[in-house]
Amino acid sequence: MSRALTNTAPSGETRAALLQARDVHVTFQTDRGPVHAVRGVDFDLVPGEILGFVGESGSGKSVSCQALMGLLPGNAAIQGNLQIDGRAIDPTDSPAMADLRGQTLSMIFQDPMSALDPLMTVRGHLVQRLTRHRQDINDAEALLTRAGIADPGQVIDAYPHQLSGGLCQRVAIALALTGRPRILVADEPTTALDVTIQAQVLDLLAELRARDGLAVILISHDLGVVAEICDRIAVMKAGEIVETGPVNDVLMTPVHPYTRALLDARPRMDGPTRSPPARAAPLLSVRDLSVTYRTPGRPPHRAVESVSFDVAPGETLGVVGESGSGKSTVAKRIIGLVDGAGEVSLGGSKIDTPSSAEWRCLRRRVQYVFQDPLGALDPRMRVLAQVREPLDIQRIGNRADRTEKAQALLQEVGIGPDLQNQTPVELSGGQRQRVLLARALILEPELLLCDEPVSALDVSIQAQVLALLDRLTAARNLAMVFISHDLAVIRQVADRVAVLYQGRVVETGPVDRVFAAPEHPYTRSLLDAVPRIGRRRAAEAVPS
Amino acid sequence: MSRRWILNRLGRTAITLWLLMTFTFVALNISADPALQILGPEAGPEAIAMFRESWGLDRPLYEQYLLHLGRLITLDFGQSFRTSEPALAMVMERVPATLGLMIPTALLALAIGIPLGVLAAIRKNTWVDRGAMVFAVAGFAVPNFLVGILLIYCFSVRLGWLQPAGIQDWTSWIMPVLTMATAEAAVFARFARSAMAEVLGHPMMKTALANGIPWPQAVREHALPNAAIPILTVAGLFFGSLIGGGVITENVFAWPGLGRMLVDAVSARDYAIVQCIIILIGVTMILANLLVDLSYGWIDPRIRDQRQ
Repeated sequence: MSRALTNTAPSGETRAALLQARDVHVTFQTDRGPVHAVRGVDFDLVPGEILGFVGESGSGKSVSCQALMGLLPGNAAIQGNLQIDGRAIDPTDSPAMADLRGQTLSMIFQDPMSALDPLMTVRGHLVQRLTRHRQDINDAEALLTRAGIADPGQVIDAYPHQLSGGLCQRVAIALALTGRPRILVADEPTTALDVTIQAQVLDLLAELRARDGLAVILISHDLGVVAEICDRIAVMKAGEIVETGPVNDVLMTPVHPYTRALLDARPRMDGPTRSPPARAAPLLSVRDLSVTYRTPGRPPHRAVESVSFDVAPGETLGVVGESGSGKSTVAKRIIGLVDGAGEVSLGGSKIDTPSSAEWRCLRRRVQYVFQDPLGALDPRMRVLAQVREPLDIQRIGNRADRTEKAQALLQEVGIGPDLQNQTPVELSGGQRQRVLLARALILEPELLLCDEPVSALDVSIQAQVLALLDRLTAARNLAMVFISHDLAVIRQVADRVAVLYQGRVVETGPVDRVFAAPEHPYTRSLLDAVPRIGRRRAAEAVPS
Repeated sequence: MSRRWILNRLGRTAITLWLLMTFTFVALNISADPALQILGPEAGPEAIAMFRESWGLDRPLYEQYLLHLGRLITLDFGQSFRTSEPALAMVMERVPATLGLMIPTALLALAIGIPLGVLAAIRKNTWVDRGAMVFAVAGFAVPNFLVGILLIYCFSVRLGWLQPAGIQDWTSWIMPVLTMATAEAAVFARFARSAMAEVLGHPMMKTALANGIPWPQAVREHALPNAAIPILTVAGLFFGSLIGGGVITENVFAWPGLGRMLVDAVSARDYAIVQCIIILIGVTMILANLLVDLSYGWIDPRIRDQRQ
């Protein structure tokens, strides 16, 4: 099914492959028997090229690249042929790989904060790596500049926790470049970053390729990210490359059904939006909400300032913003998990300082869905019991009725009887999120507060959960506040959107209008930063 | 370290000390008449009256409590009921023997336990790991007095190589130190293993490898410092218990230290001595904790920043 393996650089000329992988297999020996994670992968990489690996979790894209780096654990067996500059490499030969790593091949990872040693300054990291690669340690600041850090003097003596995620990722890139490698493997390098920071890091990768001829393997679940900077992509599924070719060919005219399915599942910035319901009297009304976090010994932090909005029955309000913009705090304030100023009304009556008995009643009407379903569920309690638990707490009906109701609702969200007696640890991410939804819906609330409910899910599972939410809100005339950093998701699920920036709503309006004609400059910069298929990012030229 | 943090920490230390002093007062007053408790049922009424007056037991309770605090703050721990010597002086006399036993024990326990735990974590799920953990479980499952008695049986009774009791020469240290160090080393090994295993799985290790840092260097420069904090916590607790830690072992080997003195004083109801030892144990514990707390900030810049 794969297209011809082209060794063609963007300029069109044919170049000798820097890296060649042929029929690579990776098998893990586990207690439950061998797991064949990578099944016969072929790919080439030429100097100055960015090759994207896309696929869902478990597709083998990270394992393939870690095999190449020689970073797999001891229970992994690697077969096949790997060549760099025409010379075979053996990823299981630890001393040989230790010499290649850093100087020929280097790698950056998803979570930039934990990539660095919390006890070591940036300088400590740089000096350690430079010394290892016999480079001049006085180059440390220059390397930071090369990684796009405008003010290296400010950063070099800082500890990782004193830096933002974006800066940490730049430091990690600088560290990866200390040994002047020719290949950089980037494993989901922007997944943990905000969309505007993501755009900056992608620009940096494109620039390093253009300026220094660095070849990059970019692993991502986000087709938009891959579309913007990759020259060629390889789509992986169940350990195999199902389709490969120039990025525009594969994404514009996909051949393999799986590639098409991935593209279809992706929330689009140009797809249809929901038709908003007729305006009714608001169910939730929020006026001048402010929340200030106080930590002893620190200046108070105003997380949310004068936030006001209404949500009508059956309506979905999307709340969008970057990390630290206060979007979760707004939701927590609505349900009373944090204190603050302002007024919250539900169905016309104020719920600002309710007694605990009132809260119990209110929580029947308002339910919360968290981002991390495994964190929000008891990992070792059977899911049926967990979905029934809110009914037990509210003492609704007798035990048999409650069980029956929980079973019916789980069935409705797609958790069949065979899964109902399992514990969350035995379920997949998508199944857990469905359980969490069932648990929130069992009390038949009028309002659902969803905090990044699909962020941790693969794109096809995300599409399923979003479709389920759409169906449930329509069937139950449920109002929803849907918090997300992902503008494409917001655009798909919400009727109206509120854009949060530094604790304030900077823009609000119908989804159609805000996405088509944003008024506030921050909204515009957010929308510009969203990676899109069919758009290219920055420098294309490859030095010869 | 900010002044606010230091003041806060000193304040907490003062509260802990006050609680400790109050506890000794309550312990004295709670069960029965302290005079009867201390002098024993066979004491005559004049002796009791005299005792009450000299200890201020004839005054109202709150006054007694304030007097009690005042005496302790001025380091007046009273006199031993048996020898009439100042309790503090008697107790301090025994400190060198105990520290002389406990410091080599601590050093040996650290020297065995930490490398063993680190090695077990690095060689996780191999025979090295399993062997180390079998030793660890055995080390704290077998009570000290049993180990001590077994050692005496082997090396003193059967082989006749070592003196079974007291201090004669340097060989007198071998058995008591071994007895306690095996148990403590086992605790350190377990903690070092779990701390190290967690750090070895941290993404920074993979990043260092991916940047070309050899594994042994990454272990030395990243894993060991990061694993130090949990290990330091247990080590701090152990150092805090140095003074009172060897009660059983000191008794098995008839060691002239505080542990034996405490047991003797309790059975003889020598209240002043008991109280003095309790306070001394408490103070060392508090000091050790304070040192551990300070060293957290010294090792970890995140903690240092929090205290700014």
